[in-house]
Amino acid sequence: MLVTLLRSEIRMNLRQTFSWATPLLFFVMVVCLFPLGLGSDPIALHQSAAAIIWVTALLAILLSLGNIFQSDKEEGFLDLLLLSPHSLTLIVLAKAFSHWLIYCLPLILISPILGFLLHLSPYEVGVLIITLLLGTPVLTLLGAIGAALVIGVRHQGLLLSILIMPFYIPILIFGTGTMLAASTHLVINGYIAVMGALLLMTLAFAPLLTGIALKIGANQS
Amino acid sequence: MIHWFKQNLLSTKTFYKTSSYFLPWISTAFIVCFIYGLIGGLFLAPADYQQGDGFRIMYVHVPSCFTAMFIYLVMAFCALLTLVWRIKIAAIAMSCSASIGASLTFLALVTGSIWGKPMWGTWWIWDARLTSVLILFFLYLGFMALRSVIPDHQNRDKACSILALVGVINLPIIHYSVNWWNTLHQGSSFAQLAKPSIAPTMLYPLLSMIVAFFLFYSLILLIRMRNEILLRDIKSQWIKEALTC
Amino acid sequence: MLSLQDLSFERQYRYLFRQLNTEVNSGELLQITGANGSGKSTLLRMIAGYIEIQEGQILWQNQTIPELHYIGHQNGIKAYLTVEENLELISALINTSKNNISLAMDEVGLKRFKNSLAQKLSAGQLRRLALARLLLKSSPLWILDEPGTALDTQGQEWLVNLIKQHLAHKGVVIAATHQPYSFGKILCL
Repeated sequence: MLVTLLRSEIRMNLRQTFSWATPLLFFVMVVCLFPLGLGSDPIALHQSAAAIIWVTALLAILLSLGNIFQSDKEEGFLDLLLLSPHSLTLIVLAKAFSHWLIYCLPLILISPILGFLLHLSPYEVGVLIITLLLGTPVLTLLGAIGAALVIGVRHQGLLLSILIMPFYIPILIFGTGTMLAASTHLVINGYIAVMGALLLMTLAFAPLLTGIALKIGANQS
Repeated sequence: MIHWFKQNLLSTKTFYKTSSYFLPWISTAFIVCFIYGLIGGLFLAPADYQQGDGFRIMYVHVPSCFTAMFIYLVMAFCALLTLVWRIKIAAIAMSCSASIGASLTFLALVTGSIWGKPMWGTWWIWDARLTSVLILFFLYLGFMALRSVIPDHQNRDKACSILALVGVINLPIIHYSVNWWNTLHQGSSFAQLAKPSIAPTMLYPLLSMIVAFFLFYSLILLIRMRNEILLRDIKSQWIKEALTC
Repeated sequence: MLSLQDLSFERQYRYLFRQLNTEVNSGELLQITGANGSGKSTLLRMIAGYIEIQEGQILWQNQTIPELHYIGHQNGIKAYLTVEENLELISALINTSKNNISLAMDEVGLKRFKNSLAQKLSAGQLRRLALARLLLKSSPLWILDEPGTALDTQGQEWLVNLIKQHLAHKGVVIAATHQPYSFGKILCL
């Protein structure tokens, strides 16, 4: 079941021209705005590179999360998901994973190029990719809760961002903290471990709460 | 068992009736604590040898900070009661607490920043405690935003409960990460405020103010809850009886 | 046998229905009629378990509701999947084999379109595709919210036959309709 669901989700999103590319383009363009605003000084850019990439990735993910359950709700597909004898937690997990594959993985893949544009060293780029790999699933899973909570709301607009942004703070802090440690060549194992722990914790509770929130969303109709 | 509680002790009707007996007691206790705290804090306590009279804003800042954090815990506890046992009263308490919590958090931020001006020389620094309180303020605002967009109150209660639970799970993580971030980025120019041992003449008014703020919260909460109960059960028979006599 | 006992539903401080009592035996059709906004869809969604019961209870042979098919206003069809992929996804979700897909497509007359995106189908064809779900797996209880919308006369007839067949197999159908069929009980909200 999970395989079919994953395959369908990926197919659907790839068939919608630009649906998967929009967050990616947003990510690239906003990161490119920063040198224009900050000035082209390589040292200053290198110093704020981690923060720029992390904050922009965070915003891009928040924007992409608006449609994780929205079309399901509008097309009435959510009713089918809820009626399924399979565990809702697993279904949510599968949906979040496919969302991550389609919307977050491209961001991570393009981030080395952006890292070099902001004068990060190859080692730092490597660390950046690791932190993004650990951090973006957390952002997706937490955002899914918010997306499920506002599912019945028309014109949700920026509401989702307001609800979820405070919960993104720890990941932002540890993501950029790891980069800071890497740039001063400190040991980063501890930071990576903390991010891994955050990921595991979020995996444990977020899909469950998202499921409950989806049920409430179906209640609203 | 739980069902019996829901039907009897925790029903909106019982709550509405019993709460009216508590209201005068709570308000009296609040006034006593508040007046003692004010007089003790503003006049009886000696001026701080470092901060002069500036420290006296602590008598508003610390209690509002404490209460604001406490209210979020109350909300999360009510959220659990709402989601698991569907206790109506808990849902009402949760949704009525949010705006009180938000205003107290705002008060804590403002007083903190006023206190900071003579201490640090600026209205705001990204100190770990101030930042944590700011994030708590954002959490409250997010909660209120979600509450305002869902029209039906049953769905609203449940959705808000989930948000409050996610918040309370994340709050310690946010708090520790902000502390850690602060030690990471803080320059040496701002030394952390050392915690001096506090003299009893300073401490007792502070404790009294903290109690007063908690009482104030419960007082406002009770009044708001009674109001909300009237709104929700407006069609029921017992309200007509209660309001006519 | 499905029985609704003392069902009440209140939304926005106002009762949609109050103290509703009715019974449907197996092999019977219950049609729910009523003006717009009278709570037909709400009642159906409540029986299907989407909306929490506030007062009263719904029992199926004195137990909780078994597996059921629910088709609401919306078709639950993914626009960017083909007809066949949609049915494959649905059968995976409701945990049934893919054997019936081809038969179901044939039955609703969409076999020719099996590889075209659902986005390109007309409203009536989409409704047929939604109804094809009923053929993927046999469930005793069908809950249909205005199943005939957007269907042509031929489709309407086919639907009536489908419902009759299900009733003949001792199934229960609960449908919200504006033009009630000649058979089955009517409940007016």
